[in-house]
Amino acid sequence: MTDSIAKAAGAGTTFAGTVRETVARTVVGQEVVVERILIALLTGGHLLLEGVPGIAKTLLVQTVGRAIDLEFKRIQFTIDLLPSDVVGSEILDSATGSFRIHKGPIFTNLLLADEINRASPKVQSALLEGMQERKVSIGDTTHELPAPFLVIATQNPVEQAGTFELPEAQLDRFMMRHQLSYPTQEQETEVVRRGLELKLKRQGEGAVPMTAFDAIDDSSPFHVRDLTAAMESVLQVHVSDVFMRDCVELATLTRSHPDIELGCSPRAAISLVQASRARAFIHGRDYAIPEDFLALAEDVVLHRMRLTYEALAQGRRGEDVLAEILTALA
Amino acid sequence: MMMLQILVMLLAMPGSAEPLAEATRGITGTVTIELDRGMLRGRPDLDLDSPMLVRVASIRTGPDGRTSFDLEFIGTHPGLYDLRDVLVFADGTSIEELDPIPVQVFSHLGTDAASDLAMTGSPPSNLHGGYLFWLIVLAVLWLGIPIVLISRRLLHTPAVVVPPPPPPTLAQQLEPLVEAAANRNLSVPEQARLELLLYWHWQEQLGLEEPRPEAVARLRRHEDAGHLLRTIESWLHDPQASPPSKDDISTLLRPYREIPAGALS
Repeated sequence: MTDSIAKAAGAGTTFAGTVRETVARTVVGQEVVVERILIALLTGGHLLLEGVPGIAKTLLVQTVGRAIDLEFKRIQFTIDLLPSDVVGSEILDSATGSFRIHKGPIFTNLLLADEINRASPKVQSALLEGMQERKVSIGDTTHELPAPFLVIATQNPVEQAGTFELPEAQLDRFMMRHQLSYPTQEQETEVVRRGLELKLKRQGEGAVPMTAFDAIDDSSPFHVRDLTAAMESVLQVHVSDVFMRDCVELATLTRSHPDIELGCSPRAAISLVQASRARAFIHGRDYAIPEDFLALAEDVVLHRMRLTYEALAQGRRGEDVLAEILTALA
Repeated sequence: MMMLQILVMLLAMPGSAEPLAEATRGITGTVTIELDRGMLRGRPDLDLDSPMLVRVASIRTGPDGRTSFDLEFIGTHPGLYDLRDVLVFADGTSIEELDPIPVQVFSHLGTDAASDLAMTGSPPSNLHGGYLFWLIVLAVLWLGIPIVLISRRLLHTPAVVVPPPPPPTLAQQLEPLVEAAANRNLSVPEQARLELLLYWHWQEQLGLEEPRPEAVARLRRHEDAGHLLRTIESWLHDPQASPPSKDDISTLLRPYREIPAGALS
């Protein structure tokens, strides 16, 4: 290992470790999600989080953003949301009599699109276009989005009434989809214990109870330039031919499996390799190993494949089919 | 000249007299005759299929004592008819001694048109052989075909199904790759398969039940498996590591060249 690469690999461990420590001061558990968010940040991919309400998705994303000093915005997607509510619009300035640009919340570094499946397809499409092209059009002008730009969208897998399911082509835009689970009993106990420690937030003579958001550590151990340097280092992580063969073979096998109606696009193999590089960097390696793609396969592959009706009727799950495919890789 | 006179005489004979009345076939025609004596009626032995039917519509007696009969007739076939053939006296005796009563029945249709007024052919629905016959045939088929099919299925002895050969065991898959690795440079797919097979092998050997990613992470830290897997990783993935010699590889993989068949299923 050369000195520069060794230094970069060590920097990866430090970067990830420090962010994790910072997040852990506010959020209990969720180490895997923090790692997925870091992978998304380091690769410029976007992340879709699926989970029931109340498991600190917003708090987690906001904390990670604060740890790297990223500008953070959140949009609660609803049925009556308009594309202009996301990307912005031209408004008439009565003082000057001319139109001026009002930039929407998409102009940020870290955007949390909460319950993305509640907005109409037109709004989803406007957001996904920005995610893909990293620029949006307002009126006749095209505006570049800030760098870095990362969308973390959430979906509630339980309440499906009145929602617009993201089609496969749009799901493919997300590098990863991660399914959040409830915290363990010990973690939940710790969450409650921390809640007891929250005090009052005084405003003048009045006060409101503090929330976990008020307790987010304001200090940012890293800045955007640190993230950029980390992203540069990720690009130097070596990917062997053997590793690439594994990733491509995995994507290819999803297209011929009898239980899969729609297999993965080549974008899945690209995403798997990129995400694996970032994971190797986070784990202090300057080369990717099978553990990386095996750890990320579910998050990168499952939302890109659709099981056949017969397989679903037999109670097959995407996880089971993927496990078969992983076994068949050898 | 003599012959012409004879022909005129023949034409003037009563048998070829001018018809007293005409009617289109199927349409009622009327003719009136007078008799000095006796009453007329239609022949009772004729049925409705007769080519000529007649009825006595009315009878009148004149001041001179002669009786007038209004006769209505219906002919079903074109031609010249003598109503004497279809009439009798009221007492049933023949009226052959009376003068001929010629009537003409003609048709407006062409000579090649069907001339039967009544349908005489078989209706199209009248199946050849009879409706009942075909009904029985249908019933026999309806019952017979399922019985034959079910019987065949019940009596059918299943063919001997040769079970597909079992998929190669991990040992069977691993062995040629290990052999090849000791003797030559493996291709990229072979290297990939060798590495993953070693992972799966150790996962089975140690009975790790957790999902594959977690199992692989544990294997890398395992006392026995860890060294092998990390060495293979370094060989295949680390660009900075010096490539192992064939002897090194052969030594590393030697334990896997002598795995008894079935040990790793």
